[in-house]
Amino acid sequence: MESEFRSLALISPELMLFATAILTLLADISSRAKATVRGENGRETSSYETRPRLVAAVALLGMVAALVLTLRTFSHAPTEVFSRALSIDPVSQFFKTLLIFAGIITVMQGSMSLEIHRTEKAELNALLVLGTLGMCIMTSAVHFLLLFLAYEMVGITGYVLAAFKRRSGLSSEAGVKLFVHGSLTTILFAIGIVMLYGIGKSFNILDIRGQLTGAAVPTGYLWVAFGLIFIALAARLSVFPFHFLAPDIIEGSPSPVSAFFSVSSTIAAMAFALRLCIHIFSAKGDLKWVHLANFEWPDLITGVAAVSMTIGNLTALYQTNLKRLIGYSCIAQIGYILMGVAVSTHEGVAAVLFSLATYGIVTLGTFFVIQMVTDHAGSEKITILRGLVWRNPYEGVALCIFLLSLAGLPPLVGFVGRFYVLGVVVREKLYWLSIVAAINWVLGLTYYLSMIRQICASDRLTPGERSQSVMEPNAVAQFTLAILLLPTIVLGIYWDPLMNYITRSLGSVAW
Amino acid sequence: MTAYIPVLALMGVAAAISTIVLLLTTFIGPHRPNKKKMSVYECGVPPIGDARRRVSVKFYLVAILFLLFDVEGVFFFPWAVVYKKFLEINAFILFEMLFFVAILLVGYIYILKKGALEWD
Repeated sequence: MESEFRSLALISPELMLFATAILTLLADISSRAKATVRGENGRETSSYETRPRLVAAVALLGMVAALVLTLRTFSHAPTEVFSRALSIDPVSQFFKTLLIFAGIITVMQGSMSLEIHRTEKAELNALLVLGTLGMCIMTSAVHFLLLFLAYEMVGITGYVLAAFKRRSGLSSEAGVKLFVHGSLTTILFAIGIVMLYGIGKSFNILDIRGQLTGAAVPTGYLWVAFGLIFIALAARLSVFPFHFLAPDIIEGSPSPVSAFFSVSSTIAAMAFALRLCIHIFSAKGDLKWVHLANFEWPDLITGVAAVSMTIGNLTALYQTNLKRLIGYSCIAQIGYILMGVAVSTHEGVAAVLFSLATYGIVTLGTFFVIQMVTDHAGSEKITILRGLVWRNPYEGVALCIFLLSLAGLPPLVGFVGRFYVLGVVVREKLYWLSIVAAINWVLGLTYYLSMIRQICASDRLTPGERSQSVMEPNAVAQFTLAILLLPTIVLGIYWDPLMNYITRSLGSVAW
Repeated sequence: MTAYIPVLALMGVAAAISTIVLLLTTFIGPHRPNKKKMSVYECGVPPIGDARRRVSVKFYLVAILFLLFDVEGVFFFPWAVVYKKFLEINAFILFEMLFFVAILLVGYIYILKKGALEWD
């Protein structure tokens, strides 16, 4: 009993998230007042009054409490709990902090969104919280069964979330595509796990790695097992062979869900990537993680990274839909970050964690502003941004800053992350990869700057339009935007504390 | 090999029971066939006709909810198997299941309040 309760204390953030999801649903049905709702067919049905404000408050408070609980266990010495199924270490807590932060912002977006009807807010928020919970378990799981369950939990909430705008054809399409594709990747993932079980005679990641160091396993066998699990991973990361789905989903889903997919889902998948590449197939050396059993998995990862950033950037050049463009730019961004995994030096992995954090914050900010604009303009064309900086100066400037950071220009945080990743690639003498990355840096600038040109354009606005603001954001929205803007600028100038923390936590884990 | 004898016995009993029941109904049961009865069984839907008939969407909701709670029920079986063994250590396993049932209850209350079980 004792040890179980101690373990429960260590997974308190997850328990809190779970309680939040339940309480969010209960808050929605807490009202006793009856209300008549006019359905789509014009028929009036009687139902209970919903309480969107209470729902938002409960979900946000719960998420903040979970964040606080994560920060409390932030520098906990690496421990394995629940029969070595979950590992609580500084790196997993780092990922959880990012995920819960992203969850808070997306719940905030969900509560503000005009796309979601007020009777559906509770379900959206509860699903976002549950998705975050699944991802938190995914970052900690060191047992394949648990990892699989968490993967499915994220998947199933994802299918519902993508199809949440029921009246929109694009949204249903996104949901069905994700479902069909997700079921297939899940099967391949399961086969991959079984193949690794064949080597390790265990579902525990540490046991499997122990077997990999000792026994001589045929390289072909390893490639098949690695490849199958990599497919499941690549589908979530939305990198090259499986990138085609991501823009459809990001375009079709309601904006809060787009942000959730392009940030939270990616962060969790990258944690999973580190688990697969570094934790299972490598052993810790002095300067870098050494590949086990002469199994050269970085060949695959470098190729995938190079192709996905090129494809993402080239396709983004031709996009006219705002959300779709950001979707393609996300593919390119993940390609960049994946280079750090491929290098797998200690510095490289630290650069991955750093740029993942910055990518998350900046992309959340971008989607936050984009949601405000698209909700009010009722369109998702890039041209709705025209003259934003004159009509809503605060939001316009904020979006410019986020885009410049995504483009990787100093003195913003995007530059620092990208500089670190490119630095380790050059130091590892992967010159061809660094040249591809540098060309992509410029390619990315093209469309980010063309968006900024739209935002700053004043010539095609009539004086009347210019003085008329696109939207009237409330104080809460502006405050949230400030929370996202602050790290984008501050970490771009003074990034040492975050980088030092990441290096320290990577040093402490027993990977 | 001896470990499989109970499985074989179970298969034998299952085969015997189904054979006996079928034979009994054939020989003892009353036979009053009519046209409706002799038609192909298709869960209450006319078996021949346009496949794109309209079915009330409420059936779908009820079916989904039924399946949900039905599947949750499956989780009780593995729990029941190890219940005695774990209870000797401590009562943690009992509280875990109570917790699980409480969550199911929340789901039930939610669908009740949302009016998912009201037919109109």
